[in-house]
Amino acid sequence: MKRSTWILGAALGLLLVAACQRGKQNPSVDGAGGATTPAVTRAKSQSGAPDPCSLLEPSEAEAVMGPLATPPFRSSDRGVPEESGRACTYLTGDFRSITLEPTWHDGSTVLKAVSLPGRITSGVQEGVGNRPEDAPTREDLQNIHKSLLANGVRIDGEWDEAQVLGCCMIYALRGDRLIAFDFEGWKNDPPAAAGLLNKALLRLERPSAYDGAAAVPAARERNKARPTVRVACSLLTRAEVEAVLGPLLADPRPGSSENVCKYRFRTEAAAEGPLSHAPQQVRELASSIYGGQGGFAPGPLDIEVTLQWRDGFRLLAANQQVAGAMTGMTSLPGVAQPPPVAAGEGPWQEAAQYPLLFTAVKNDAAVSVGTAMQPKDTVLKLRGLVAKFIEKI
Amino acid sequence: MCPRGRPRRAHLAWLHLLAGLALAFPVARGAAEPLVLQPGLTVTSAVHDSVQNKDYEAVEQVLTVDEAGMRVRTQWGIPDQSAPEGVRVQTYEELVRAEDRRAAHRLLLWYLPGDAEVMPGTTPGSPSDALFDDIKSKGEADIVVGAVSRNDGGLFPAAGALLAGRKYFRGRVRLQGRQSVRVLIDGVPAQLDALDVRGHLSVGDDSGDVHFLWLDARELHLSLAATFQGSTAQVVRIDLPPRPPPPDSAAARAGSAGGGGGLQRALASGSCRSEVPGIYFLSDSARLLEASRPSIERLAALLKAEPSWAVTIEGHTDSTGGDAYNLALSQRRADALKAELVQRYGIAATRLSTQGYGRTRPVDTNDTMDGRAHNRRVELARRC
Repeated sequence: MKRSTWILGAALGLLLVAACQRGKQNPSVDGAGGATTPAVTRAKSQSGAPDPCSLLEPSEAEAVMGPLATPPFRSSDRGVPEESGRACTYLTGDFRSITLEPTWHDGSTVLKAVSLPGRITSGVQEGVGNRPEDAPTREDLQNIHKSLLANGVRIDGEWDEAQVLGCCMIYALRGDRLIAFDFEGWKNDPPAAAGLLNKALLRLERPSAYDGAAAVPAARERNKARPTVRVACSLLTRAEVEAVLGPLLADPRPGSSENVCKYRFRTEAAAEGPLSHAPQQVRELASSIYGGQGGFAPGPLDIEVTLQWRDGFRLLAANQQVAGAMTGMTSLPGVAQPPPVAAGEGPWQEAAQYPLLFTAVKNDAAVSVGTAMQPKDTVLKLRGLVAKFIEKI
Repeated sequence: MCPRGRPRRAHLAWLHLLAGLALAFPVARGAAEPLVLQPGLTVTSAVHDSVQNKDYEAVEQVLTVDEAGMRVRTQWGIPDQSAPEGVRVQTYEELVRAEDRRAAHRLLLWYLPGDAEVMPGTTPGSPSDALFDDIKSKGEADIVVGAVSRNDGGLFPAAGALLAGRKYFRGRVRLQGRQSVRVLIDGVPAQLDALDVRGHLSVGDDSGDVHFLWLDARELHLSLAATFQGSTAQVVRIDLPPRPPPPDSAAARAGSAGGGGGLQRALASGSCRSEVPGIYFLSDSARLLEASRPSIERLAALLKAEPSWAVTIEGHTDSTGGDAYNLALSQRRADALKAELVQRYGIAATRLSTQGYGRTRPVDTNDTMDGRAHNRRVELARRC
């Protein structure tokens, strides 16, 4: 891009600060004026803003997400139950969740702030030159393009403007009110999520009288049923591990944290490795990257099993986004992709095989193991090990 | 989540009026020739931005029209003493989807930095087919207008509005009557019939009266003027794409990509003089806009086809500003065009002279927006 005169503007500097402190502010006062309805008044909390749980009926969420484990409850923007929380969380029995956080006034300010990374690199361009050829080029202008979703999926909604961040966060503005809709903890299904968001948007002018603070105790109680945090290496005995991987060459040992356990075992010669059909240059490249860890030759293999005790569904959705972006990088010619996860393959509630990684989730706890450049037999062994971990969660 | 990266100064731009244009429309070229929407059609609007309290001109040019929609490039300059020549150049290219031109009831009156190339569900400033039809058949319609509110600023209106961003006002507009609007078409003043559409829009506790003048032509949906919360945009000129040169003209023989027949005839005539249409500068600046490219190419082709011609490039301004300022500005604009012809197209500098006349030779009134637009021009005088 020829244009590079980015100017640090005082006004936008303030905006950034304001946006970053958004979560620390007191709930804003509804300034809807004539748009305020008796329902709004009933739904208002002591701070004056309507209840964030007043926008989406439990039955509407259940129609899409399945049965809820608790009534919708006020929470932090990460789903932690809080009586004065500015967000509302809808939680299912397996601890999947969506969270929506309304901004009742000046929502356009919030949208502008979250859009800023895109706005800096795209959109209205400044020209510096004195001649037409100094105007932005076609290539410059193509950078303006931002599809609503990174994967090209277009979703329609009742918003006036919307911005998608990552895989599963939609900021939707209607009038001057905004809903930040986070469905990363549920699943990466933007069209279904947009359906829920639309219902909430249409209720912005007339929230229900639902009291989300009253549901917080039940939500806290429900959270006690989440998997108990333990040291990763304590979940399986050596014998249980060897039953899956074969004889270990060393004792299991913790990795960089207590949530990581490392194992060393010997891989067998595979009938067909991931590089069996790869060109020589690709083999050499893989050898230089993976060395002895490459599954194309039998020998000792060090693996790490990583546990994440909360936000496992978020991890799955985020990984899906990253894996999509990496598809081009991992699809080297002749390199076999790891086998997809079969239905009923393991005791998990959801699992995904990415080019470099396998992750399985149960009750929002995730277990991951690296599978890069391993032959199919080894990948399936590693997934079997993850299944053993999942059984203990 | 905190955004990362270096922020830059935010720039707002009030209004774009063009993008509701339909595929074909029967406006007269010089009151005689039917017009068809096609790449190169250019609409110039005079803008008063009440949020930043600044006046400028916006030039919108149609780049492509196809089944996906219409691609439009808009350029404008915001007065800024910290920028070169005291003006900051802005460019925005957008694709107005065909489906939105048919059905959208949401109009965007403001650009914001980083606006996406496609703003789904919106038309920029002008009515969609459905909205226009509602006004014509029912006399009223519900609309949504995306605008930066001057009421968000508090003690610091511009800064406050910049922070606030664009919000969406809702309400109903009604047909109040008809008006005749004067617009330059290819430099020739013309009267266009317009629908007078007004309403009161609100969002939360903010509100404002909106007033549109929509061209009354079924095949062309163009907002000739729009006013909201003290900001105003008015179309002052519409320039049509260059016509092909006559088959036996020197320009055609020279393989000119554009037209130039009219310019050639005028310069070859007894007057030896012609206005050069389609030359666009940033407001209060000698910066040529990209929209000028077809006209400059046409002019260069003509000069190459007539190697014996020597011409004077004359710059003219309106009366806004002092004599000395306008004289200097018109000279710089003439010089800028000469430099372009010499440096980019290889026209011998000895064949081109320049003269700035400032505001001393008006061809129209300086009391109206369109009159001032008429006076801001570049003329060529052949030495004969």
